[in-house]
This record gives sequence, C-alpha cells and structure tokens, in this order.
Amino acid sequence: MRDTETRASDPVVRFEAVSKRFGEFTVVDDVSFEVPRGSTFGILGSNGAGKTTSIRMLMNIFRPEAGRVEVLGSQVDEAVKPRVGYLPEERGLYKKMRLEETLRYFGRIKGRDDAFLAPRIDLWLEHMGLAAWRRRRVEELSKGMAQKLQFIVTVVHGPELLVLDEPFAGLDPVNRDALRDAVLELKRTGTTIVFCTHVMEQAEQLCDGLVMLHRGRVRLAGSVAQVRASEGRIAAHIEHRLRPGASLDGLPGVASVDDRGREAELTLETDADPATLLRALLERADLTRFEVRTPSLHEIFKRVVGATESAPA
Amino acid sequence: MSRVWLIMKREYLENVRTKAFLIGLVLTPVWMGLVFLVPALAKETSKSERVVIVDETGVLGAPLVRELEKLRTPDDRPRFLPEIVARAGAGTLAELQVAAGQGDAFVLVLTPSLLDNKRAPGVGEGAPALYGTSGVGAMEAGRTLETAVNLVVNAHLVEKHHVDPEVAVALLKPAVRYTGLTADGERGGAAQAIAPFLTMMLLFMGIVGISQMLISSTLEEKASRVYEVLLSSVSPFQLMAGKVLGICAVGFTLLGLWSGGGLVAASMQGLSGLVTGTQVLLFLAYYVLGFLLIASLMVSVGSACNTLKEAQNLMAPISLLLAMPLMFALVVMRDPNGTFATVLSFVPPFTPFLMMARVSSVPGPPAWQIPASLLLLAVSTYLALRLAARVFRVGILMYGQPPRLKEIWRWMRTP
Repeated sequence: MRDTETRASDPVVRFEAVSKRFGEFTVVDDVSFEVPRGSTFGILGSNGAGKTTSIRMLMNIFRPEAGRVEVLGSQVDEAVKPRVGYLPEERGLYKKMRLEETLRYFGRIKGRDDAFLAPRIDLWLEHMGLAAWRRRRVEELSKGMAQKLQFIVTVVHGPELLVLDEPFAGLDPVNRDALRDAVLELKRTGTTIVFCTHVMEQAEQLCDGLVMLHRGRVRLAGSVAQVRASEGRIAAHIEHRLRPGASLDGLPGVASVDDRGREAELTLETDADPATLLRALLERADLTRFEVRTPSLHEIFKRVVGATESAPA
Repeated sequence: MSRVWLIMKREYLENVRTKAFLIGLVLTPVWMGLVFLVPALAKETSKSERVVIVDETGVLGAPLVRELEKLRTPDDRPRFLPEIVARAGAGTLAELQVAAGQGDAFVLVLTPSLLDNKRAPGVGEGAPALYGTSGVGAMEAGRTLETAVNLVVNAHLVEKHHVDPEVAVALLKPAVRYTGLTADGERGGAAQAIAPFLTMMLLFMGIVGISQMLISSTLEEKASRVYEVLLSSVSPFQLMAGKVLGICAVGFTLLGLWSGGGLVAASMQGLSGLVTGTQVLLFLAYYVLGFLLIASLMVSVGSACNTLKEAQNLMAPISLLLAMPLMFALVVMRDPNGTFATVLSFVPPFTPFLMMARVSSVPGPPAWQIPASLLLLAVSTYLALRLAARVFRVGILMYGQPPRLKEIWRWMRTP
C-alpha cells in the first residue's frame, strides 16, 4: 500500500487557495474547495469563469502559481493518473482507429490489461448503444456517437475519480439522458465525480456539492440546497396567459422578473407575501401554475453574474 | 516505460500501414537508380553532328574525314557529318564560330603548325582550334573529335619522320594504370568510390526525410484534439518520447529494407566487402543519435504550429541548415581527413552525415574522432530533447496564433 493511499473520509479532491495567471490575467483567483469521496461535485460558471483552467490544474496539465491541488492524496502524477478518468472540453480520438482498438489503446495506456478491459469494453459498447459499431472507424461516427465513445474512453479503465469538462455540451436530449444515466450509475457504484458546466439545470439535477465561479473567484459554495437557501429569498414559478394589455411589471413584492413567455420566474423581496402576489397576478392573468420555492441555481447564477457585471470594474 | 512502448507501437503502425510508406519504400530506390542511370543513357545520343573542317594544311582533312566516317551512333547512323573548307577568312571564321556557339556544327581549324611537330604557332599565324557549344551535352562529342584529330596528326608525324610503328604505339600507350583498392585489398571500382556518398544519402533520407513525418503527425493529433485525453494517462515527455521513437523505428525499417536490398543486389553483382561490421554498427549509432537530434527540432515545430503552412514557414530556415551537409559532401569526400572535413564533422547537426561519409572513405578518420564525435552528438541530442520536451509540453495545448520565436524561447527556459 502506498502511504498516500486515501482513507474513505479523506476528500478525493482538495483545492487550497489555488491561483493561476496567464501573463497579466488572473484566470483562477484564490479558489478553495473539497470533494468528498463518492459525491458528485459541480464547478459552475459562465464562459471564461475559470472552470476549464481549474479542471486542467486538477489534472496537473497546468500548474498553479499559488496554492495546492491534491487529488487522491497527492498531485496528479503518473501513479494517480490510472485512477482518474478525464473527459476534456477539447475532446478528440484517433480518426482512423476502430472503436474497439481505440478503447483497448486508451485502456492500456491507463495501465490496464486486456483481461480487465475486454469485458468492460463489451459492456460499455452495449450500454451506450455502440455495439454494432465496434469494428467501424472513429471517423464514421456521428458527433453524438463520437461523444459517447469518448465517454467510454474516459471510464473504461474503471477510475475512482471521474473529471468531466462540460460533458453534456453538444448532445441531443436522448443522448444527454443516456450520458446522465451512465454518470448516475457510476455514482451509485461509488465513483467520485467532478464536472463543470455552465448549464445550471444539469448541476441542479446531479450535484451534491458545488462551487460557483465568476471571473476566477468563488462566489458561492456548498450543497445545492445550501446555495439556494443562502440567497435568503424565495421565488415564484408561474405558468400564465396574460390578459390583453396586462404585464408582469410592478407586481407587489417582486424584485425581478425572468419572463420566458408562457412561464416566468419571479424573485421575491425578502419580506414579500406570496398571497398578495397571487391575488395581484390573478387580476392580470389566467394562471395554470403558481409555485413558491427557493430560487433556482439559474436565477442565483444570473444575479451573481449580473451584480459584478453592473458594478464598476 | 510500457506506456512509452504503447505510444511508440501505435505511432509506428499508423505510419507503416499507410500507402505513402509503401510508395516511398519502392519509389525512392527507383528514383535513386534513375539519377544514376539517366545520364548514362543520355550519353548514347543518336544525333549526327555536323563538323566543318577548315583545313589549312591540305593534307590532314581527307584522312580525318575517313577516320570520322568510321564512327557510328548506336542506331547505326554516322556519328559525324564532316565537310571540308580549304580556307576561311577572318570574317568567315567569325561566322563559323557563331554557328558553333549556337550548336549548329563543330568547327575544327587545322593549321600548318600541326604538321611541324605540333609547334606553337608564331605571331600572326593562325592557331589550331576546335569549337562547339559550351553545353555539357557537346563535351562528349568534343572529346571524341579531339581523339580523332590527335590520331590523324600523330599518324601523319609517324609517317613523316619514319618512326617505327611499334615504337609509335608504345609511345602512346600509358605505362601504368591507377587501381583503387578496398580495405581488404580487393579491387574497388565505382561502387567503392560512391560508397561514402551513398551512405550519406541513405542516412540523410532516413534522418531528415523520415523525421519530417513528426511534423504532420504532431499537427494531426493537435487538430484532432487528442492530446488532452492522452495527457490524462501519460506525461508530455512520455508522449513525445513514444512518438519520436515510433517514427525512428519507421525510418529504421526503411533503411533496413533499402540497405539490405542494396547489399543483396551488390553481392549478386559479385561485389562484396563493401561494408564492414564496424561500419554497420557506426551507421546505426549515428542514425539513432542523429535522428533524435533532428526529431527534437521537428517535434518542436509540429507542436508549436497549428497548420502545415505555419510549420512550413518555420521549417524554411531549418531545412537550409539541414541541407548543408549535402553541400559540403564533395569537399569532405575529396579530403576526408582535412581540417575542413574534420571541423565540420564535429558540428552536431552535421556529425552523422559527414562522419559517416568519412568512415566509409578510405582511409577512415583517426580512431579517436569516432567516439569523440559520438559523445558530442549524444550530449547535444540529450540537450535538444530536453528543450523539445519543454516546447512540446506547452505547444500541444496551444491553439490560435502561432507563437513567436521569443515566446518559444521563453517556453524553453521554463523548467
């Protein structure tokens, strides 16, 4: 046993005051978080928030200027790499290789032998609906199929930690669900999962814990429930048909409105009374739904980004 | 190590299984053969050449025409079409010279001084001359004409002075002929003479030609974005090492097949002892070290660029440097142990080519120079690989604008 072998209670990933600069530009600024074993952790943020840079530091592709990154008790070195599966944002495979060959090759350079890989390759190809394509070349696959193959490449060697950079980007709803189910299945078998996304709904569905990055800094952190509650406000989710001439402006106790046409999310002021709001709404529109709850990550995210965006730089 | 082996194996198989590899394998020796064969074939011209003979002697023209009429082209046509002009004024001679310069005819001027034991012509007296174009193609015909004129003039002098014909023949015969020998004392011949050049060309194609595959291979993998996936399994250095060794093995296969085939062909021609075991070992050592040195350049260029066009721009000055050993080849082979050859063969990028050319020359270089040059080459190859690894590490994840040289230099200094 290596003395760096982690105990079940140790975090699988630990960022300690990590910063990264490119030239004059600070991309990641004093970021700290921990990912407990067996949990699913989201790194959220808009484009350019520092998500991919954080993930690349996690994978030891970039080195931080300051702070410390620990994965499975040490830096990601050649000994730790086989225990991690990484799906980068910029993904690619050898176009001329056959699917089977591809999986065997990437499994082998992770240090696994054919006896270990062969049944897993069969299982995963079957599971992802690619079994009929196993003798085909990668270049023959559609974009969605290629992405599913890329996911199998990431997991075929049986990693303890899965690191996924925007795993759902560019997938149609059917493939997205297939991939999400596969991720949840791995989570059930104890795999720790770190992924980053700018789609808050995905994070809401999958994450146990999260950090929300904006301009390289951690703006919010905790479990999904904690983050949503930390706002201290509640939101009303409505499905409506406005009467002619009516609008959602100037409703009592409403701080902001996110109107999506037939639905809207209304963020309420701290002391707002939902009953007063409901009465005011019924005067203006026919409602098919009125739900009061903590605001979604999407709403919170927009406010976090909006607050700094409008503040003088 | 097993990961480097896996990457190497993949790189090797991917490049050996291509049609381009097979075509290169077959066509290169064919091309090399043509380079040597075509001039030999072209020599056998079938054109009949006009020769205008200005015969001021009045006696040499007729026997010369008879002599020239004996010569036939391979397809049995007259080699020369001689016509005699008794005298030519200064104006006519100038016109004839213009015609000769334009390749319309050879112009031969035979003066009386030839009959007077070929003495130097006096002041105001015409000199014997033979004119043709200055093109390379006319030289062969010019030399044939020289021989014929010499034969006719000598025959005239032999007769005039009543020289014993046997003595005349003896006088014209060379007393001794030069023979080049191989290291084991066998008769060398042409194969021995061109051995240094062939060895060098083979090494040049194996090193400079093959290592260029690294540029396109690196660019392709960069374009397919496969590097980040690979980096989650192996270190950048392992990745680079695997790729370089894989392509090195490709070159090894090509050189092995070519030189193996060449040696088999040579022994079937009855040529043996052309290369010694030591030479083969040295060839391998210079090939591997030289390949790794040049490959470190190629892999740096490939990883720093995004497109073939960018890479070509960066390669232009490098190619010039790499072609230099070929320019020095002739000088080195003429005097393999001279100061010039010795100094240049210790410049690391030239070492494999020039040292190998010297090793396959006779006599070989002083014994100490071989280990010394290998050591110097090994040290510079090690340093070059270390710098290349630093460029590779950053370059393979860089997209967008190609980096400036200043930036690449900064990558190299970052440990």
